[in-house]
Amino acid sequence: MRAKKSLMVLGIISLTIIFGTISFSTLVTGTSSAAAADTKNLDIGLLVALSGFGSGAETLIDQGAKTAMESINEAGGITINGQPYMINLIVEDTKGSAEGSVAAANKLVYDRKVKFVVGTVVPYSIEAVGTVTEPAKVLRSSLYNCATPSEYGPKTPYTFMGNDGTVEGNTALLTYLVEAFPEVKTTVLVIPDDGSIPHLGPIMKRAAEKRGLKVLGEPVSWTHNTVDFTPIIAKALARKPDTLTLLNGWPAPVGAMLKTAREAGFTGPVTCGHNPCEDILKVAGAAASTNYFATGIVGSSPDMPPMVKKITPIFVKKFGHALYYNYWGFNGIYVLVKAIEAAQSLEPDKVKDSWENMKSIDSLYGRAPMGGAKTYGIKHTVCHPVAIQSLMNAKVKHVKWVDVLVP
Amino acid sequence: MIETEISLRASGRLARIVAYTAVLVISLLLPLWIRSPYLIHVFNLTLINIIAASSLRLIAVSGQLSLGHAGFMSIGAYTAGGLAKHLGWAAWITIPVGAVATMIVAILVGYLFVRLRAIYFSMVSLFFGIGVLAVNQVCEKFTGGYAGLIGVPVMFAGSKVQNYYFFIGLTVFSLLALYRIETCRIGVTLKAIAQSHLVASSVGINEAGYRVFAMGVGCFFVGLSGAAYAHYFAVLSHSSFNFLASVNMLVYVLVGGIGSFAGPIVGTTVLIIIPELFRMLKAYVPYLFAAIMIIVIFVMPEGLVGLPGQIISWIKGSRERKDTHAP
Amino acid sequence: METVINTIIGALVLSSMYILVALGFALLLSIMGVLNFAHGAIYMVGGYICYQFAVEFGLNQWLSLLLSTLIMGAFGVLLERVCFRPFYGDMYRTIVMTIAIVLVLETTVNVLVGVHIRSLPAFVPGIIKAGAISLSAERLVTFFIGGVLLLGLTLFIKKAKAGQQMLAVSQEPEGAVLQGIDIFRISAVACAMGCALAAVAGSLMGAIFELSPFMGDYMLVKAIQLVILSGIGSIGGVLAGGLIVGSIDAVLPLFASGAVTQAVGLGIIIVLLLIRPRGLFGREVT
Repeated sequence: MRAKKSLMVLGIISLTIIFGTISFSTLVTGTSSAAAADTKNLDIGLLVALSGFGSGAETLIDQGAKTAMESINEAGGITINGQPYMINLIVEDTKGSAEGSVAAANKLVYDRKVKFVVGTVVPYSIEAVGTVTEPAKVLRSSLYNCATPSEYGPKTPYTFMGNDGTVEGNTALLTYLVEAFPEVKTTVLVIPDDGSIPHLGPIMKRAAEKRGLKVLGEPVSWTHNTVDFTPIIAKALARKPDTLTLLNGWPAPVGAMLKTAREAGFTGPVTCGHNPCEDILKVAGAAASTNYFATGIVGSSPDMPPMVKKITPIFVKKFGHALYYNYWGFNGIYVLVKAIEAAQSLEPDKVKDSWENMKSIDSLYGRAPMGGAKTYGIKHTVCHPVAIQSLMNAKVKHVKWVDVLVP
Repeated sequence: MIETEISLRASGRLARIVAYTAVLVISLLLPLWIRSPYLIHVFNLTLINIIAASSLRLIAVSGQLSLGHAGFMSIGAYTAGGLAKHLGWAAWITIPVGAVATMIVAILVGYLFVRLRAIYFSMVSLFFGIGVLAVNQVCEKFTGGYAGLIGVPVMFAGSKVQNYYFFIGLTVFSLLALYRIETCRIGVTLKAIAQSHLVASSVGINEAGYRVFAMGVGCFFVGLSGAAYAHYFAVLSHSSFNFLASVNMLVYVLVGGIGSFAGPIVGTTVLIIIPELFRMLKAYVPYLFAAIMIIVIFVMPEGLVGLPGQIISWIKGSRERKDTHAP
Repeated sequence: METVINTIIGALVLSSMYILVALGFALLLSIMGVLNFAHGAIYMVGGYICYQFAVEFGLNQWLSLLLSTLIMGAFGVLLERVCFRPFYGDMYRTIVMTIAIVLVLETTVNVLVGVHIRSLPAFVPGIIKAGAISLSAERLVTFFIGGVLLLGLTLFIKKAKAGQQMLAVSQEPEGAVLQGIDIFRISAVACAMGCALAAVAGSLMGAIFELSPFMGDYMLVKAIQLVILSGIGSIGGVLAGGLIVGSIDAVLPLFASGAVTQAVGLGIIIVLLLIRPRGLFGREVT
């Protein structure tokens, strides 16, 4: 009886400690509305996976986004119709799942009443958020898309693409590849089985063929929870391609695929957009890390646009690293803020109309034309230049910038 | 002695009826006090999960601990969602159809799996739960596969409050039905089978039949909750129905208290609402979840529903101790 | 032909990897009757600890593996004392406890190092090429380690006194007590061994694949598939279960898409279980 009683006391004390800690941490980490007397706040929602699938990379995106907010605010915020505004980033965790994304979007739209949102990355998450933001006419700058119409297209009129998606990044890579490796004539597309294959497959096939590259067979698919890629790589290599075109995925599976391919004896070039070389190196190991090309930012390279050069040391100082996903998050916020500023309005409808009619817009990577009318059905894509980087003999190097204009 | 026992039981029953009625009245009046559509949304999710968790409990008390319950929920959800989206059927048709479809699958599966005992059943139900999603992906033309089923028509034009009342109605209906089944002869027989299947079959009870019945009924209601979920959430994806979701449902039941009918209700409510209130913890939310779980299993042997009883007996106990220590 | 040979080798190697991961889980379930959902999380933590010693502290990688094994073994003793012993015999609360442990372990690792992509360097670098066969050395080494541990564990259960005691406890706890076996001490030993095996698997897999806070989730399901298929009560039977599951996973993706593989694979396992409801080599469970 005494044991039970002390256990109960213990339980009550633990409960108190827990709730006390929570309240304390709320005090400390609660979203601060730091508005001075005459400046107001512009709430921008950020939807990223801070736990669950994809959280490794999306937490870095969150870091970049926060840096963008601070950088913009330090420069005085933005001015709309003479009134200065400080950016207030409200971050919600999508937990890497569709219903988590819907819950997070609901929180932002109906509880915090934001009018502008940045995010997310994975297809089902983007679509899920859209079901909340589109009917509510909340303007969204998506961080990615895999060319499926339900993610981004005429059905999602309030969604813009502030960053390069699968198509933009990988066509830039293919452009570079055929230029640097004229002997490469055939390829196999390897695409995750997340619903994008019916759309991405034909688009990338056309893009490859337009550049003189023949696509062998149907895209080879893999599920998100694949751990061992040996059979998948074997299937792709059985067709004897000169190069492997990997699309989407995170560094973990992509690095695993590179490693498996090299272990199977494949020496040809391998490309994958949005899976930067330094991360692939960590997964694939030094031996396999060669002849791999990706899109990504090498902050230390002199061939970087002025803004990138400016924020790289800020990243390093704040986080101890400057990784591609940091820049990705920064650009997401930066482009949206630029669009709002150009529209000189806080109404999503007005910003939407203004943005679609802009010929070009400022991005982290330089001036970017707006495009995408033919490929996606709406002209909401910010076609900023894409940086190609190479992984050769375990060394990461920036190669060049490629201009992308998606028709 | 017997009179006091009967009167105790009667007063316990009265107390329970009063409690349930009070909760119902408060629930009906809730939207008047709580204005935030976001909180109503959280309550809607809670109600759906209450139906699912309670249905899981029915199957569990028949001696079959199902670890693939979310897989059955997905059958109801995707059936209703797919029919509504592709064929344009209205919600009041697709929801019952979804529930019945789940029940049919459950009966078939139940017949197959009835030979499996205890932990084997649990593990096979786990495989089934995962397998359902794999089959779902294979049928991706209809279900949308991993990309998910987007754009299921919503009920009541998406009004959170109207959906809330609909879910209250659905929950009350489901709970009444489940309670009736559990307390009638069939339910008592189910519990007897769970206690000792050897004894039960020696008395001539068709054990297999009863277990399949439990599966069918339990999965009918989880299919119902899934179908309702489809028409509310409008987005269906595998991550809502995977192994983690099944585990969550099980945790709601176990933490609430599997011995009591109100267990899943209390467990679901606490384990959904508290983490939602503490969203600001972001990546640390699972700690809170785990803390609640650990505290409950260490301190409350009967689960959360046992807490009032425990407090009362603790107070009584200390009063007794005070008396015995009186000089 | 070359593909066939490589596929067969791939199947054997993948089977051995699954068996390695499942051993600790099998020990606890078959021998101690404990369904340890935290096995995946412990496997993951074992891998990260090995990384910490090998990469962050710069120790020899095999030494790091040993250290990780010892640490997780100690953790296993703690686990038994604090988490399993209070709920001995209570399946429901044990399940809740193990799930809570998973949440705590995964969240801690995610919050501490989740953003950093980590993968252990190969324990044995290099690729072995023999004619048409191309296999990485570390997979071959893992294959051997898996085989040795499986054999060792089977012999331990059959021959060693502690192993026999574990078997006795799982079959008839009251009888075991009457025989003078200290149930809790044996449980602690079993738990330590189970966690240690998980750590070995996590470290080796962390080198072949990569480390992620959630890598345990997938492997847990694989381990469960394996152990249930083999049947509870038989450690040696894990070999059969491992070969079946590993072969399915290595061969089917060549012919069908990932989802079909999963559906068919699970279907095969379910059918096998329906034919033999106790698993291939399992014993009756009350």
